[in-house]
Amino acid sequence: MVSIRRATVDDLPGMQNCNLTCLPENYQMKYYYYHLMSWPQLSFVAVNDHGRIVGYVLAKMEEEAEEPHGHITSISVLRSYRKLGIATKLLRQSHQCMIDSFGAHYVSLHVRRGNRAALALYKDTLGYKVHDVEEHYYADQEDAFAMRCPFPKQTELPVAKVTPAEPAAAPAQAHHPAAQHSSQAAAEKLRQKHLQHQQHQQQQQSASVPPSAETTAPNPSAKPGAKASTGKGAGRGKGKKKS
Amino acid sequence: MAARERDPQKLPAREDALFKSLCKHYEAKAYKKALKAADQILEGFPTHGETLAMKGLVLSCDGKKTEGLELIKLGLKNNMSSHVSWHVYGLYHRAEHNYADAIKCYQNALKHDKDNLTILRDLSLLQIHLRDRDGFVETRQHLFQLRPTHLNNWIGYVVALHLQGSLPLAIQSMERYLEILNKPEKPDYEYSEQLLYYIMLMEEAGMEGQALDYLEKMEMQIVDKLDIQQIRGRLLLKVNKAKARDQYQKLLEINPENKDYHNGLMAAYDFTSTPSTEEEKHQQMASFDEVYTAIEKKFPSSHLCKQLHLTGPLELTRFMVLLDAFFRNLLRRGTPTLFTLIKPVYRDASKIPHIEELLMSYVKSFESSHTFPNDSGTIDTPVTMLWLYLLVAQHYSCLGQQENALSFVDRAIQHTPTSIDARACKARILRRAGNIQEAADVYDGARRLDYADRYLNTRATKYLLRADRSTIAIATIALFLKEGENTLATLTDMQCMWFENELSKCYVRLGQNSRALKNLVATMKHFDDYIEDQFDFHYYCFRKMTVRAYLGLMRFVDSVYKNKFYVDAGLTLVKIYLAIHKNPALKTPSPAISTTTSSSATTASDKATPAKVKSKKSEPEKKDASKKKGKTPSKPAVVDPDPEGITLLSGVTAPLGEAMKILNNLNSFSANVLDVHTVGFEVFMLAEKYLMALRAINQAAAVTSYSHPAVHKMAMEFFHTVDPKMSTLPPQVTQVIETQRALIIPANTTLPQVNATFIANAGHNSVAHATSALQCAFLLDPPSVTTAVALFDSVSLKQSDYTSIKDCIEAVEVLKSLQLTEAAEKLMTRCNTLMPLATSFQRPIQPPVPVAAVAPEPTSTTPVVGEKSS
Repeated sequence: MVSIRRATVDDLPGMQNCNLTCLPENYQMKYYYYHLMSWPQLSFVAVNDHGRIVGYVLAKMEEEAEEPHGHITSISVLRSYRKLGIATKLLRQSHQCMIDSFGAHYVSLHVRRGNRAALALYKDTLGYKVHDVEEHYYADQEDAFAMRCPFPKQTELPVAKVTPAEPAAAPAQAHHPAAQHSSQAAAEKLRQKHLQHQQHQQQQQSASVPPSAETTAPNPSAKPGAKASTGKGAGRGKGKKKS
Repeated sequence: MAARERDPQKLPAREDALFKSLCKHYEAKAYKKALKAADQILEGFPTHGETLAMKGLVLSCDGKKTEGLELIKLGLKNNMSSHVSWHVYGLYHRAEHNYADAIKCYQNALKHDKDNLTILRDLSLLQIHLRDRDGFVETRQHLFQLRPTHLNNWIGYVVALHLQGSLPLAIQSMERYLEILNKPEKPDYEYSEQLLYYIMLMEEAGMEGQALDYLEKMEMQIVDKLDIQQIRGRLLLKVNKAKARDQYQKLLEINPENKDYHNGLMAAYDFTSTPSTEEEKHQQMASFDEVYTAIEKKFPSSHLCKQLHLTGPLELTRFMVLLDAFFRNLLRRGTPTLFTLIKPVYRDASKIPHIEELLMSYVKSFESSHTFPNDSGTIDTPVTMLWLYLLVAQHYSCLGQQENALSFVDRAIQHTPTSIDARACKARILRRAGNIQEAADVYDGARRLDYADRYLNTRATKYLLRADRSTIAIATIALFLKEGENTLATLTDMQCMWFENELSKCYVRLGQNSRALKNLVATMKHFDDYIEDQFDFHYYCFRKMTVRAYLGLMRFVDSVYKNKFYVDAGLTLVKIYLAIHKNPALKTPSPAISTTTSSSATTASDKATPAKVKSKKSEPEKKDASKKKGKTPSKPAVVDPDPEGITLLSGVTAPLGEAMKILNNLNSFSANVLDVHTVGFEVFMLAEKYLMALRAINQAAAVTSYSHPAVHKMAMEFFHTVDPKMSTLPPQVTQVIETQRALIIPANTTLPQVNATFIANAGHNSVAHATSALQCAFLLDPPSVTTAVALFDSVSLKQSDYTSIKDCIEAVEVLKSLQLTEAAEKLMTRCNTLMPLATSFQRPIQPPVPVAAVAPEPTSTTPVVGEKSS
């Protein structure tokens, strides 16, 4: 029997193993953590009677984008569990949660040009359309179709909690905006890591996730509490954007 | 003024500004600029401690660790009362992952500046990382008191209380916090997560009623629509079953494939309880059938609904009707996993003959009229027949009738020679039947039918490893890695643990302990990384307000060692340590390698050559890449100084100590795994840790029972060894042993008597029982060996499945090791008659694992493989 439910952290090793079993694009555990700690609503798993993960979808939000939208980072189902509609069901659950929790307008994904079965599933069953072709996207030089699936317009649903990156507006007085801003900075930081990681898996190099560079320098000039921790985060965020 | 100027630790305005820019450059990782600023300051103030320390920190970040550390220490010496210097020293330790030392430094820094928010926050991160829960609460409380208006400080404090286990206080604080918080005008993700966190706290505290009320009140503000419904279901199940039924029906509309919802629904209907009377039983069946008939109708495309209906409490005739429909539907659809879906039904043995009858009626009907019985209107496509054969084959294989299974799977392959699923199925049957080599050939044949499918590649690799063909297996899995990469290093980098595990077991069987060790140590390291990787999220999740997910991560990390791969790798590792302890010569593999025949020597060189060629090729690429990146200069293109694990193996000085370290983790997190205790027992006995050994016996019995063959053997061995030593042991120890002995061994009974009883009562139960009885007889009472050996003539041999084959192989080996050659051969013959496909019993008096014979055998039975590969 196969049960389809939202993924929890405990499922991540099983998802990693399923991914390594089925797909050539693999990730270290930290990247899985990053997904679940950023968008705990969006990833789903298919589990068999023995509690083994036989399929998963790992999904995220593209928060920096003009239009908030979801992205399918990775999806796979063990060959021995195909023909049960598991992938479709996983994706539909994830889609709905992108809409509910993050007000996504659409969802995107990449698929190998030659993967006809997957293409048919995305196109015919789920309503994705080819948006673009990215040449030599995969490590083995195969092209990717960048596909998108529009979501129905939501009227009463929450829209765009995901704030597009505002210019750093006077963080001096209020604490809340400052906190928000540095949360963006932190997200940005992790996103950078993720980018590096993507490069990593695309170029298949042996570099790993960079050392946890959260190292905040001591700020001796600051009198206790002058700017608190949030100011730092903002500073780092700016630094990143410039570069 | 004058006094201040004279203090070399205080900088004038110009230098102070420079110092600030130094810090800024450091934060931005502009190390060159930072160093320049530091040097400018030091020109005028060469002993300024904080600058020296900062310079040291920058240098250490820039790869000059030793020099950096010296400067940091010097800086600290020059100004011991500077919180900056201490903080810097703490940061250095943190970067080196010396978290405990880092904490000490931060605490020293706080002595000189107790309210420094940055240091307090850094301290709190390390405290929770090391699970100093009380310290974390303290620091978080301090931060909260300093900045109560800061939202993250509230939540941080609440989470600290939660992790400490102070639920009531956490709930109180969260309640106050949410009262103060402004309700956002639009639904807001972060706000929604905070509300759900509050509900989570209440649910964990068992406050279902309040949690429900709050959930109803705030529902509109919560954007996680799915989780609200799930939480409501769980809560209602505790307080109002009638409402819970409706709620779970509602959840099924969201996702009928979620088994948790079905479990909730069944609990709400009391379908899971065991009825006390026959009448109640029929009532329950009728009611279940009614509910699930409706559900099945409501969700016609849901497989799970159908399966749950089938596997629930049902009258037999009704069951058969449903099963018939289920089979027809999925056979026509062509579902490779059909048998797996239905397998839970086989737990009820009374149903099996009926299932078989149904399947045979299909076969008969298809072979005569190409369609299902009583369905003459439709002619099925020929491919349905393929799936039918496969279903029947799996049915027989599950019942242990491997010859029957094989004949059906062969019919399937004959019907559709290109079917990958048929070959995969055949390989599985062969493996179960005990022919590991042919299984590997067949699966590899399946792989060759679709080179692009990594799943097939993964499975084929696994089959090859099980067949001890390590070189070919590595070459196979490498097909999915980029050319020029070091296969093993890349897979380790990607934390590919299934492979490391299977490969190391394979190496152990081949006697290549150093290579096995190398892989196992890599697996262990992955778990260190799993733990280490939580670090960034101590900070990140509070910014994102994904507090619930964060708690999930904390709990995951706390029990990370219960992971199956950890248990597997840990046990193999302990077995290697045991072997080294028993035979320290294994540590120097040079003589070992020379003894492992020429075949494995070529194995080694086969492996080494292509890897070398490849790494040469890729070197320039890697250099380019590292230039581009600029960072992480130490990582790329590092040549592994010990690729064969030889240094690693020879460096093992205290194998039993190492083994006990791992056993400690295994015991804490996987006490439900029998092997943890059987292997542990052996280690503890050798280390003469008798109380630990005794505990292993008791824990093994808790997983099984004292009459389990493995537990029986452990107990006999234990008392046989310890009884004569009692006078030499300290009284606290003997006291415990005496008490336990009374519980395990009946009063006034000798150990040989206990074993005699075991022989009489349980010896015939299985081969494993007989083997255990024999080993104990040999140990305790040699004259009784004859009785024990006789067991093997009459013991019932189970029809072949993989575990019983393993037990039989072990029995044969034990008989041989006790010089009972005749009995060994007799058992071999019996096994061979019963399990003709199992290769281990085919050649009398041959070691069961044929290493050298593997490679050259042409696979005449699988002609398609040859065609394809040519």
